[in-house]
Amino acid sequence: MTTPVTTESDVRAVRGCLKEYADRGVFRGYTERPGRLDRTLFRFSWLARKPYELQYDARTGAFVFLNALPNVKARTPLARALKTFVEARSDESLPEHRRIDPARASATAFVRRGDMRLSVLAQPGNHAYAANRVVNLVHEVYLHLHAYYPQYLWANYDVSEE
Amino acid sequence: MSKTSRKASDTEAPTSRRAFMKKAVLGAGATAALGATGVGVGAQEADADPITIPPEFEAAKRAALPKIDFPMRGAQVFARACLEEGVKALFCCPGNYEIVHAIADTGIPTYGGRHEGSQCHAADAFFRATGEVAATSGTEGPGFTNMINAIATANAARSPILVLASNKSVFAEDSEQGIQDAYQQPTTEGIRKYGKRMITPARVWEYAGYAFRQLKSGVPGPVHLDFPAETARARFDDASELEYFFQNTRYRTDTKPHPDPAAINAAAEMLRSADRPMIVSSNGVFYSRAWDALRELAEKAHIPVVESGATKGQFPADHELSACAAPGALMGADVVLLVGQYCMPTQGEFAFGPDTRYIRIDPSAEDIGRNLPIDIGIVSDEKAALEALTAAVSRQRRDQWVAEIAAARQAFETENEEYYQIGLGYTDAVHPAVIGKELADFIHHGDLPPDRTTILQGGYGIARYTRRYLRAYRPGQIINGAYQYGAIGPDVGYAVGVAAAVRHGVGAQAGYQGHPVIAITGDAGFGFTGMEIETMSKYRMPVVVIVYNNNAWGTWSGQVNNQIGLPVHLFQENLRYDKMGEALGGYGEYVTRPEDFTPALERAYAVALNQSRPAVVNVQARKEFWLPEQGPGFLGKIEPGVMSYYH
Repeated sequence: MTTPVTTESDVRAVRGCLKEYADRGVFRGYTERPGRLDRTLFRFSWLARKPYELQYDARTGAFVFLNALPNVKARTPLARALKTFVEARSDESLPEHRRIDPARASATAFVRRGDMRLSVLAQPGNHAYAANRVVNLVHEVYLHLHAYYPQYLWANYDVSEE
Repeated sequence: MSKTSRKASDTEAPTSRRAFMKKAVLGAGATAALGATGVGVGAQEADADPITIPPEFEAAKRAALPKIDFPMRGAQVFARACLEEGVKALFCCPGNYEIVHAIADTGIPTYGGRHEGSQCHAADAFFRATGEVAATSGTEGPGFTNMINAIATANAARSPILVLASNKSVFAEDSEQGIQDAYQQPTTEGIRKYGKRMITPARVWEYAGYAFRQLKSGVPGPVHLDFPAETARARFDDASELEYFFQNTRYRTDTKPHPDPAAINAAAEMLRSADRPMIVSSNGVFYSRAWDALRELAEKAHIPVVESGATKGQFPADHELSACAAPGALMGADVVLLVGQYCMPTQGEFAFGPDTRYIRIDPSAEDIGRNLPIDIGIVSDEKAALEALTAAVSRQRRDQWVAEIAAARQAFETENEEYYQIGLGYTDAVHPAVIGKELADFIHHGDLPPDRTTILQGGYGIARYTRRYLRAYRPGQIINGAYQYGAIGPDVGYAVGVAAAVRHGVGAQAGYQGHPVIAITGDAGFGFTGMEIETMSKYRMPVVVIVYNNNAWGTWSGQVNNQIGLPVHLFQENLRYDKMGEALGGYGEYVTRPEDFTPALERAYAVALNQSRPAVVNVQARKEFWLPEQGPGFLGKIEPGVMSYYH
């Protein structure tokens, strides 16, 4: 865990980043709710018009999409493939605009209670950057599923089999 | 399983191009389209040719066209409007006789097929291949309702097909007198652009004007006209008995909406300041013949182009700025210019990322901003807007971004080669990657010029592979299968329309007249429209139909763990669709091993070329190829629209 050095400007920047997605129509039905400690829960409808929950911990700089990938069992080929894919988002071979810069944030995927969560942890002073990266990470994973695991999306996102 | 034996007489060396064209190209006249090579060719190849065409075809071809002038029947008045408006073909089944025969009498090429739905699909594909309007017709009641699925499919693709149907008589309305009685107009509500039951005979020309205004302006779509007997059979001694009997320059205009200069300047500035812009070229670019304007803009501002939509080739796939084979790069775009994307994906249905900004060009102000929020909207004809943007943008280089596209293209090709090698590892059936790769090698990288062959790229699961390998190098080279409506089965019907378009060299097919067409479908799809092989044989259409035969509906892989319901998704195994093709006058090949695919394809193509008749290449696969554990499994899509077919 990083040392909590969050500033008000970090929090404002995170809010601004996420609110802009809502203002641009990327997120629909966007709401923000305070949680325990310094956590904030952002809820909105997004890809496949599914409800998403993004938890932001201002103290630690952790961003977690709580329900990003439902019904992914631990230690399955899909779970392993997705974890590998997420870890590769910091690979130097990726263009800068597609990459999660390890000096500024790091991404992980992990299974909790049968669902896969996607998380980005910000380095100090990089909360807005991490907010942007975690949103892009979810989209990257979504595209990856479209390309290689369409059956998963049929079953779990109500995506058309066509 | 044994392979169909090779027939030496069927696969002789290609004849000269001149001889082939002489056989394949039609003369003028409506019935000249019927059996173009008809009796003559059949007689020349009596020993080898299984097609017996009735002598009436030749007689029809030789018959002089009647003079169409007053006194005229309502059907003739309408047919004259079709001729003057440049309708390029009619695809129909018997029924609606007054209208069908009146149109044929004008010299508009008229094709009769085996099912109204297939013929309606043919009209749709004819437009998608040429950019020119075709008509389709069915008889009242069941003939018309047979077309419903095809009308809906054309509507999803925004194809301006002219759907014509007889509709009993106004007098007998609601009486259920006789048979085939139905009030038809409400049936197409929601799946057409415009519809009219033409109950007032004197307004038949006026309503033709209504129809062609709709077909030729704005965002196109199907027009559905019903002809009660009172209108089709009405007699008009002279023009004074018709309302609104004007030239088409009086009832519609060919001028197009031009863009607001302020919006163009704003868009030019957004493109100028973008690091990684991309153009999505879709249906409207083809429909407005804006491919030259598209290329000029792309080259001047150095913007990559990716295609979506019902037809491909507005931007050549071998251009350094083509992103059609670089799906991995799409999410990197920071500004996307959508041109002619009529069927608009929603958030998450495009591969572009959450930070992407959008400029949208569309002729319909009412549609801009629907589904996908925009940053700049430009209401305009696509060609006019692209020309204005080209004038407004500064000349730029974006070498880093273009290099990123090139790297993504290379990665995609590497992945495709890996899939091909995996496919070759299956020796007891033909993997779809083998079909896709070797078909592309044959069409694009062999003896044929890469842009020559017009491709009907249909199917469901197989399309997920062929789309990875096939490329479009010129407008109208690839006609995609069923668009967003998602119908299974139109493909062989589509192929009839594409073959007619290529035969006549209409519109975008002008430079490719007479060459064989290649169509791809699945075994499920072939079951819907496969009887149209007979139509192809009858009209001597050189079409190679590749059937991906995996013994199952494409839905099978989604139900693989549903033990009780699974048989719903299965067919008999190893069905011989090639034999069905042979029975209908075509040439057949049955391929069960990967190494036999290309030789079979070559033989089938030679038959299509030399004998001007269809061939069915039945490629035996297995349903388990769609399972992930048999890798690569059932793949996703490569278009910028990741959820909706071909977006």
